[in-house]
Amino acid sequence: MLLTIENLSVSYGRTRVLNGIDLQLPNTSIGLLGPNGAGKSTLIKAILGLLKPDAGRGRFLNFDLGSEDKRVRQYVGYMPESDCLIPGFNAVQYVSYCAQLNGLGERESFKRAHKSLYLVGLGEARYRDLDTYSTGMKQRLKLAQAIVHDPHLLFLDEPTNGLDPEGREEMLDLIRQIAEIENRCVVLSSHLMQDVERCTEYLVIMNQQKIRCQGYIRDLCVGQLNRYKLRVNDDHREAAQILTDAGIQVEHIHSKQPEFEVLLREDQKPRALFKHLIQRNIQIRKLIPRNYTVEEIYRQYAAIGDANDQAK
Amino acid sequence: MTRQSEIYSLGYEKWEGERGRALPPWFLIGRAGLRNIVSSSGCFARTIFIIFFVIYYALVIVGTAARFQLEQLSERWQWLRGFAEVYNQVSADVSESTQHMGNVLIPSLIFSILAMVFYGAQLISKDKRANALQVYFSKSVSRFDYVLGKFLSVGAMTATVTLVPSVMILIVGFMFTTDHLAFFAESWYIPVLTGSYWLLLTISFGSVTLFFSSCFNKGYMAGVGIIGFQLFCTVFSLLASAILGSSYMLDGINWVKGLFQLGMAIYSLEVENWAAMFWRFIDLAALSGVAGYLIFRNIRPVEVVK
Repeated sequence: MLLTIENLSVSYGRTRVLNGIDLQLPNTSIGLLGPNGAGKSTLIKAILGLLKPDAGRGRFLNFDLGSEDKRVRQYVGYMPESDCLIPGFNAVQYVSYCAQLNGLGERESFKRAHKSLYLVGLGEARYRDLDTYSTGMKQRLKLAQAIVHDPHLLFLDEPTNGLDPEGREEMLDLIRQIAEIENRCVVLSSHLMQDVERCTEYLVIMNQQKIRCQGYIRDLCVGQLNRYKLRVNDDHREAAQILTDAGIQVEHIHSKQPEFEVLLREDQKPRALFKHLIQRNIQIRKLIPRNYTVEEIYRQYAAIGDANDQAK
Repeated sequence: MTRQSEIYSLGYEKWEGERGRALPPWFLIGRAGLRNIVSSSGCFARTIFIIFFVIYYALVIVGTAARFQLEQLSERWQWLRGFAEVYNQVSADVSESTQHMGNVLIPSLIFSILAMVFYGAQLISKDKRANALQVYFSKSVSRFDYVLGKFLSVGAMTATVTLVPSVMILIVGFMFTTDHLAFFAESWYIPVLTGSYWLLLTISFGSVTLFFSSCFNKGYMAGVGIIGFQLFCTVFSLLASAILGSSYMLDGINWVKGLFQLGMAIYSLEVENWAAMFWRFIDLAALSGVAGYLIFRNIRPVEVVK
């Protein structure tokens, strides 16, 4: 594991924001999901050493979190959610300054700053005054300063905030490419599930100060063995009615597409679906095991947090 | 074989090299602070300061050269003879350190107040307004590095009116003196005196300026705060002395006056009243200490709403 955290608790004054977090992050692309106020940004800031935890310990690479924070941060990149440009610089100076603060030499920093700015699409604007940058350009610049020193762990806090659809697509493509760099870990914190689903392989869901679920998306979303998605050639409502009459549970009938889902009991086989429908000349065009989406996983685990909260 | 990311074709390079320090972070922060001040100052303000420095440095150079060459010049130009005689009578026993005091002490205090109000006040407030603190502290930078860097910026500003003119006087003096050994014997310790005075000026002005700068998001508010604080200290010191009776401790609350008197003591190498000097030093140290503590409290990478 690249990063291990045990029993981490953080408070803002008397308000507990993270409560006994246990987390293991593998060396892959990670989506950190949670509703607003779940503690995602606080968790990132605590790992970076920007917030002092009340309790807990952690380890990143060969360093202990808390006691070796300065050394840890040389290997970590952070793209904050809010605007945070250091005044008095143009983009090249800003990005190279950030690289130097992370321990790179002056010449190497300038070289890498130029490359990073071209990479994020700011090559032509790299000498412009930062005050003249648009929101999208500022987002790209924040990404450039976060990756300029080739961090082993990169935190991206709501990276698509304020971007237009085209800019969002480009940003997500770039994040996906960064996530594919070998032996590097990207943590994408967002409340947008599509962003996380598109760019990451591992999922961490937070709600109400706790980690509700973590694991590889492919494992978490694995289909329920007895749930199938059907697409038929004819009137799918009629097909659904036929199957319901035959004692098969039908769900999620699509309003426009000829699709619906069936939930089979243990004694029912998929073969039975063909048998019932072929008698009425309805062909099954597609029959696939129904996988969970990230959104469904999220809702399932976020709901656990909400239910616990209501119980209290 | 694992697939290589497309990002390499866009120019991304991994960095497996050293992540040690080429330059310490406080130095980088101090240098950036100075660059920020220069780039953010308006053309008019910059021109005023440049004119001030040109006049000041020219006076220092010409004055020092004239001091050592007045006798030779008066032999060449008869009209200078009377002036040279008067000058010799007045400054016959004036030591080199006293000459430094005249050239450095008052200009440095006037310039430092102006520079701190107009420029020093922006050093932290601009970063706070731009939300840049979380960028700094997400890098390999500690709060101590950050504050030390800002003190370095203040130190660079005060050096232009302490260390730079002092070095000018020593170089020009050494070039124009007729007795190099005597000049060396009289001035070898002056860099230590000027260094001490520069340190005193940097710490005291730096702590007050950076404290107000760390309290506000707007530079001009911090500037007003610095002026207000100085006025308050002067008035409070006078009022308290009038009500409670004069005391060295209350007198020392007027910290700019205290700085001036400490500077005089440093350059003249003598203390007329040890008790007064002690309390001035204690007041100044307490002021700097409290301001320094509050700076550290005010600088947070994450704004916490309790």
